[in-house]
Amino acid sequence: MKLRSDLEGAVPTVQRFEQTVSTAPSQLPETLERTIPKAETSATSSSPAALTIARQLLFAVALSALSASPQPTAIPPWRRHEIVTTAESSLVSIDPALVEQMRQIFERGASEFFEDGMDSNFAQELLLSVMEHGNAAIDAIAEYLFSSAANPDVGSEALRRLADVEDRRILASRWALLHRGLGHSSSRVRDGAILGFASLDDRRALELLKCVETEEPVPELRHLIQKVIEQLGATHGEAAAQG
Amino acid sequence: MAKLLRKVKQNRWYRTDAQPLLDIGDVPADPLGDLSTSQNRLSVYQVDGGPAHIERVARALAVGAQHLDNVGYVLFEASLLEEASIALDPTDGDTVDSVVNKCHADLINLTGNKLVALARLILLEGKSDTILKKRIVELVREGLNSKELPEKVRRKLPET
Repeated sequence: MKLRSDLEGAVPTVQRFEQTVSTAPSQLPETLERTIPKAETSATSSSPAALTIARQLLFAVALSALSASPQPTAIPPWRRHEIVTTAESSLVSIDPALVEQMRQIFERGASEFFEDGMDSNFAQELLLSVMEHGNAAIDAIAEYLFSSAANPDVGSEALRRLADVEDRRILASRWALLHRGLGHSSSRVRDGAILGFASLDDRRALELLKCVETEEPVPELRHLIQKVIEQLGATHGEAAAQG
Repeated sequence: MAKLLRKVKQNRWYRTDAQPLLDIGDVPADPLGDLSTSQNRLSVYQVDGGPAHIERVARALAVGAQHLDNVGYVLFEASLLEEASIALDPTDGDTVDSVVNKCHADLINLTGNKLVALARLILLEGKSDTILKKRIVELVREGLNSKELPEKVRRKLPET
């Protein structure tokens, strides 16, 4: 939910995602976005009937899981964060109930052992919530992920899996979250963000990754960034070749 | 000299993160999660260390997972096994790639102490890396075209 800044009154605001502004996908020309095959495949465009059934099934599974979880005893008032997305700033409210839901999902995820190529209950629950709540869920994930309570392994898995969602309606918010993840204090979360950008395979991340490469203190992560840069460079070349 | 490859989640094997514990003769516990044993045996693949061989093994391991994804791995000299008093038993693997299966071996008669010693040696003297999912998909396509991989693997490829 976006609120106008003039309605904000005396509620303190927190600026974030400042660095994202220059590279957020919404800032770039539409002609560039058409060069991204993956983003063209909207989750709602290819097979609506199958998707509806899948959503209903996933929703039922998640509902049963969530119903067994303790409900929050107290829900704090809506928090409002100032997010700079364009030349003009707008305000995004963080739904405390969604943040609480994320906390529960993340805490359940902390008991899982994540492996490349293997599904996880955590990812299933997380993606279901994102399908249900869209950008509001991404905002809630960001809110929880950057709290000190978040488990880095789970945060890393979250960033990786969110990047796999093929829904361009939430591309900008996921992009902002991945970008923010690149600066996380945990190397594992940064790993998830880097792999997330690899999964997006969007050449517009090239400059962003080049910027963080020199700052990255973990040699293995610097190497990983170089690999992703190489991949995105090739993607750039493919896009150019296709005209 | 032959190298040994083990599929892992690379972000559990960053030396920088492990260094404080390595400095006091210990190891972090998380990497041990990637060294899960059965019958005190640990599955590894013998590779020549070249990228083509590593990618072929990684491709076979990727195909064996639920879905194609990045493949993280650690790579270390087989000679490190002597330092940890670990024996190697070449046995056929069970991937879809028969050539890769011939590179398989088990580390045998493992104990808790030996596993910790192995993790420490890998962290100190081995290397970790990740092959990105996009490359894995390319490798699988190549493998299907060259018939190195069986046709049934095609269903794992993303729709284009």
